[in-house]
Amino acid sequence: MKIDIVIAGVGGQGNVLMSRILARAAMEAGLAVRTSEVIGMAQRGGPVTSQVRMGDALYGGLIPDRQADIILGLELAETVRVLPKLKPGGRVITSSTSLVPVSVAVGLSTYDREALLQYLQTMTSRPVIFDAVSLALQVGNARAANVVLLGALSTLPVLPFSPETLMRCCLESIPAQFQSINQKAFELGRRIMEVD
Amino acid sequence: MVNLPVKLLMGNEAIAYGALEAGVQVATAYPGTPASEIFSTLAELAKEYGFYAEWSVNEKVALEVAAGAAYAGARAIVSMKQVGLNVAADPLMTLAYIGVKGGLVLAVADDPGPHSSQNEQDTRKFAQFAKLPVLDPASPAEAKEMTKAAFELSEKLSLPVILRPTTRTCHVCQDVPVGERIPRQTRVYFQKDPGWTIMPGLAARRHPWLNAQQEKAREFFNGSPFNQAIIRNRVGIITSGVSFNYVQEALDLLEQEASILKIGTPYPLPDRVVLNFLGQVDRVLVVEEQEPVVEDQVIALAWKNKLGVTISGKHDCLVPREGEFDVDKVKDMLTTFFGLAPSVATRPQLPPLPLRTPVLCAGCPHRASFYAFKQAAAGQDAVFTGDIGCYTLGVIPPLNTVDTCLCMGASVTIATGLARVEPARKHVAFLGDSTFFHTGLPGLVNAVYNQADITLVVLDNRTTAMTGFQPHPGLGRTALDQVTKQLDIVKIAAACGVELVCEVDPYDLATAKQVARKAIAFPGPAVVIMKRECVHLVPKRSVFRVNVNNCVNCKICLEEFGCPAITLDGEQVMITDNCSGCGVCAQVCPVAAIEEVQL
Repeated sequence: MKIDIVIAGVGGQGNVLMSRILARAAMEAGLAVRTSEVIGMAQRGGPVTSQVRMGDALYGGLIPDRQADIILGLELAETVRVLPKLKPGGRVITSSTSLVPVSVAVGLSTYDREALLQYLQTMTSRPVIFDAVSLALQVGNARAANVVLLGALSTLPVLPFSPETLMRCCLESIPAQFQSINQKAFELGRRIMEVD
Repeated sequence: MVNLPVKLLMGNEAIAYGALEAGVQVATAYPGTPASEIFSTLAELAKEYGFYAEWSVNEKVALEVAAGAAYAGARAIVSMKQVGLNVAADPLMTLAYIGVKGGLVLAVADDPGPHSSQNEQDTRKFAQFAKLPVLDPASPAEAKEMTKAAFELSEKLSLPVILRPTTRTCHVCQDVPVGERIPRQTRVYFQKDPGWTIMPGLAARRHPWLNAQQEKAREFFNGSPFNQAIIRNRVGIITSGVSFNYVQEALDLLEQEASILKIGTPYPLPDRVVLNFLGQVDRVLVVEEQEPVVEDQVIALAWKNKLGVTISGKHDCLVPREGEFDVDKVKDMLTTFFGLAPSVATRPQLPPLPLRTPVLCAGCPHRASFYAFKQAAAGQDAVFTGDIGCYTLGVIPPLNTVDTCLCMGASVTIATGLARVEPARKHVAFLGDSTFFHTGLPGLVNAVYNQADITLVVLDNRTTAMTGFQPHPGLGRTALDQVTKQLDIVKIAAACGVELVCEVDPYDLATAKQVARKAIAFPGPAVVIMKRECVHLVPKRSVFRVNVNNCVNCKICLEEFGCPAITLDGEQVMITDNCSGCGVCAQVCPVAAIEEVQL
């Protein structure tokens, strides 16, 4: 058994924390884990990719191309950017959030939301795309969008740990005053997948 | 085997736990990605276990403080990033001759890629240059074990030992068993001896000793569990550090078998281990990131022992010597080495993606400072020299206010040099508060002493933001959160002899521009301290919004100020939730169309 997960987003979205939560859940399930990310310059609004590997025969922290079982996305364009990591038949769960960088405003690049959405829908099987930020706002804090995504992820049957374990690891990794918001965020994420 | 509790540890944290288990007594550092968390973890542990830990003002100071402790027999660890070792190079090269009594470990993190550095230098080369043993961990768990072994080795050889993790060990998390701290029995006491005072005569006597220690280190490494051979067939791969992981996984993906020699101690190379491996293979590929440190030594060893084995790697261009490796890159190297047909699977063609460079955060006071100076210098053909920190990002459009960036503290000295040869232009140097204390100060002293007509702007955001908000001497707070003396940059600049020293809040754009104009016009060195806390250190008070009735869509806020919270909704400029409420955009707006909304 081995599961490779890539988390894509922009600095400041809580991407690295998600990788730690997933790693803790895997450890509770008795699995070996590796996570990897690059921080520093990338933190300041740059693209941030975290990688989480759990299970047997773990070598390094880096997932090879076309090997990831799951891609979790906090931002639409960043999700598309990491798609070469997804294995054929792998699942994508992403927020439809668009964070348009300053480079677009000053004419150095473009952000074609429709093209990105269409690409995701046609090039991956059964992608789950929803606005995790509005859902997080419904429970009271836009910053809980990452936990909404973890809630959605927890419904996938391939995971080696239970949704309860994942939620507990979530809550244990978050300051006490935000626990009730995050618990609701996790539940909302789960409900999205029931509809799907 | 005792069942130890298992923790999820980042490589940097694992190094700190390794030092703890080894009974470390003094820890010093200057922050730098990818090394920073080694010390921040040690600082937390220091509070709990009561050993000494400090953020030093630079790497040279950090190494010297650690060395002093090791002279007295204490175990000390100093951590920094690869370019930090250049700052510490002066004490390091002589420290190898002097040696240490207590274990002294330098954890120096390399950044192949480079993800967050100004170069890709290989610390293993530096270790070879300084004639110091170096350990190269492949994983967080190994980094922890190597840290403990490095302390042991340092005491056995009386030499500092370098631990050189790379980004993919530093910032990889793994389930790592954690043991108890082993208290040290050694009495810490500095024993006076002429051997502690380097003089030409002592240096001459110690050099043969230092050279002899190389062979002792090699002997230790010949018996080290960090070097391991797996013999499968007559095709061999020698690999070091994180590349070991990629080699194993790439072999699995390619469904190939090969004999592997994993080298955890790249210098001095364990000769018997390598010769034994070379004797069991016909051809070998050396896979290591960065410089051919292992490869060169393997070639020399094979030549000296007249072995007919073919050695591939960087010298026949099968393995690149630039950039970070990953499984896919190593797979390609192995495909060529094995003579396999390259895989037909190509990367999918992605739709056009936005260029997303790192940027100064929404509300960052540095943006206001850059904007104020750019405006103040308008029409003057000014040069803006930059430095290392978040504010290097002032180079990104639309600010474009960083014309040079070399290394820590160089903004002021490069500006000084430029001012010597182009006296008709204005030279404005930008430097952070932590960087001011790191190596900015000697440059300022030099500028005053030699009367250079430059303006030094200290971007004082009350922290070391880029590396994770570490304290520095300007904050009145130590690494362990104790209250300490607060060094005032205004007074220091004045004491250095600067005749125009001003402190201003960059959020007050009109005053900032006025002060900037005055400082630029001032003949001789001037210092402006732009003082305003990093936006991440203060809670959001309010947000700003565009009043569309007043907005004339001139887009100055968007295209010239460039705050990431300002974006377009169709053709209309708008402010997103990302707004931190600094209010500078409202001052930038020429028609008062941006207004405050209280939270």
